[in-house]
Amino acid sequence: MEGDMEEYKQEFIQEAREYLDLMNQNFIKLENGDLNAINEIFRVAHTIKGMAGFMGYKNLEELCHKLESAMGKVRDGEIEITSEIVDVMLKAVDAIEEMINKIEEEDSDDINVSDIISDLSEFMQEKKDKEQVREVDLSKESFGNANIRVDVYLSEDCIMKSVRAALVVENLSEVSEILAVIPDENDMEKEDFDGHFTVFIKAPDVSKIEDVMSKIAEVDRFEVSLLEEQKTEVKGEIEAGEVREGETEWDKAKEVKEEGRGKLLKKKDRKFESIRVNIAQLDTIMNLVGELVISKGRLLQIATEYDIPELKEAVSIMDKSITSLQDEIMQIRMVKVERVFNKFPRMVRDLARKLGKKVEFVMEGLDTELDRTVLDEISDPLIHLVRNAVDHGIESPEERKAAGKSEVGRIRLAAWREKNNIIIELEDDGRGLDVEKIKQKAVEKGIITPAEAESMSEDELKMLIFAPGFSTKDKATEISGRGVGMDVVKTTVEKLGGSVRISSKKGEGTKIRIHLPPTVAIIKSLLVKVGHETYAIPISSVIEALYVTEDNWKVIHGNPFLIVRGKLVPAFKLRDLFNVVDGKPEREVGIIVEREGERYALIADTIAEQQEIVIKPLTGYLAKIRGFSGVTILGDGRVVPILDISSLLGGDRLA
Amino acid sequence: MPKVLIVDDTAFMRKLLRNILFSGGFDIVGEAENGKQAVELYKQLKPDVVTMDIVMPEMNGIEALKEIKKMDPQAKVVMCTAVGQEQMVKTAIKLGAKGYIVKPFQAPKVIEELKKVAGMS
Repeated sequence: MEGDMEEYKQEFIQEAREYLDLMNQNFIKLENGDLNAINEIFRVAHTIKGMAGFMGYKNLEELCHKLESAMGKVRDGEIEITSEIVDVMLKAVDAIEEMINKIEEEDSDDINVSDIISDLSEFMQEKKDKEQVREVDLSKESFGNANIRVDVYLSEDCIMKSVRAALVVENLSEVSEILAVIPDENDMEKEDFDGHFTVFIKAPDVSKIEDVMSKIAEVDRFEVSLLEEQKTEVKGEIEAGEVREGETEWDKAKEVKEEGRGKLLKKKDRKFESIRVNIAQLDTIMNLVGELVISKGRLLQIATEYDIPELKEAVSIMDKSITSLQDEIMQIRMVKVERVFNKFPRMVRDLARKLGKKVEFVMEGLDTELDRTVLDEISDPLIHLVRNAVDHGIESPEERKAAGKSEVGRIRLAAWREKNNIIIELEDDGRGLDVEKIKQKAVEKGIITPAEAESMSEDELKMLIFAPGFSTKDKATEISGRGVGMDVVKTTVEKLGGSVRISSKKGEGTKIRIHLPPTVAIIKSLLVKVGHETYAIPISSVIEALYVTEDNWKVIHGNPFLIVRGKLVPAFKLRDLFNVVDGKPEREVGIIVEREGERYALIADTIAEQQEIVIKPLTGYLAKIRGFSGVTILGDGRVVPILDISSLLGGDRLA
Repeated sequence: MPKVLIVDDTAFMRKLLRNILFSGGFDIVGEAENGKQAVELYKQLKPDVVTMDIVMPEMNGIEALKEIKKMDPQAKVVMCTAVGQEQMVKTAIKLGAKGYIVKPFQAPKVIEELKKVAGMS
């Protein structure tokens, strides 16, 4: 089995992560007073412990064990839930996550958790003394009429010997009357129990006893002997123990569970429903569909060329199937936004606590689906936005009170589908954007000139917070300043073919709305021609297109510009960039594109058409070529490179 | 081949048991991810042996054991347990569980236990 460890590892990591998510959610629920969460966390900790144990991650196993026991105490009402305890437990959860990451990367769970473990132990300490005092009630009972003595020797490597013994006793009790078990159950639970015990029973027949014993595993050997005179002697020697003891703790736990179940059923807690498909496989399938589209194009050409109506009809039917196939695969690639959203409540909680703010965090539309790639890309920017909302948006309780607002700030994160777009909206009722301050800062930082500042509309000014190098707070705080800036939020969204809009009122709050395409594998693009070559430009980065004339073409200090409505836009001739020499048309076109808030003009020969294309990524050494995000294959089989505006213009030409 | 029903809330453990039991010559007739499902599947499949995890959502292994025993007093249920759960397993045994296996599972032990309980050896 050793060999397939790797196979189990992947599954282990994936499942452990899902359980961690569940754990985080339940901690938040717990803090909000939902006691059902206790059982859930207990269960999850227990489950991860079990998996870790099998995989041999001892450190992880121990930590989960500690967390599980702590939860057990909470469940039994021995520890009261306070924010401090939740903090410590959440730290443990974080450490578990860290371990899982480390396991994934280095196959090791070696992370120092002694602090957390000692903290957890400390909380558990309080009631420990009580436990030890629990008195053992030994009732002495005669086993005078026993007629059979069974000596059982459990195998050396038997785990949980006392349980095995209990199993033996229980099974024997089905065919006989148990009169005594020596040593008693409590002694068997002690570590020095060597696995040998004796059962005195009354039974009419020995054969049944042997039959029962043969069906129990981990029994090294057993001896059945008939008793006659011996009994008094034995009685004098040994004291009998009460067999039925020690179920109190579990019974208590059971009661708690049963109490909670009524509610649990009603709420129908969300469970993970998923099949695991490697995203790369889906990409491959998508690519194959692309190939099919091309083949279909060929067939159609042949049908037209040789004028075969039957073939044309067949191809059109095939076309329908291919389109549905494409739609289905797109559907499979969709995942619910909750995948990412679920991290937020925990994050908001931690942050708010750290900053001494009170925040109510609401999420809506968790079921909204988004392409897996889009969701992965948007995850970090969203984290940044949510952090920002807590850090910069929501005011301190005092400030809110002074402003006549409720002390508790409210942040709402919602997602929904609108026509062909997915919309994610983050709204807070905090201090809002200060347009004057933004204007001042932007001028100071040289992002805009004072003249520009005056001519800009309020909305345009607000958008400045997304400009590179802009930050209203002088020093990025520990919280928001994590390398991802607002500009990255905007670029990421735009790279995905989406857009960001912001609306805000000073003192009332801020609303940021992100429009995203549901998928990125297929994009709308503009096909342009340069010489004999065709190139695709993602339509999301195109602003407008216009003819190049003598009037709007200007060369300043050797740099070409296109004048668009009185503004100079730096121009780049694609034929120069790609060294195309042949077939220069009389009139060229300028395609105005936007990159990180700046506009540029790409000069091409003509615009061929606008079309939906399937992106095929460049792989191997081709992946390193700058300026292209991939290629697409047109219906007639032509391979067309897709321009990546960012890297195409990001070279030294811009410097 | 004795028919086995595997009950565990994690796909991971189910897969593990599936592989172990398969190599031990058992016929895995079904898998359930909570106690409720286990009871349902027991009714339908009438397995010879059930491996029953204890801590599960919806309905835990102890409750499921009770239900199954109610339906079929002869049912052979093997509890899946971990060190630290001794009391629970003892409760289960008193309720009629016929054996137990301890996580982390050791394949030979699991097979031995199930074979004994199923009366194979």
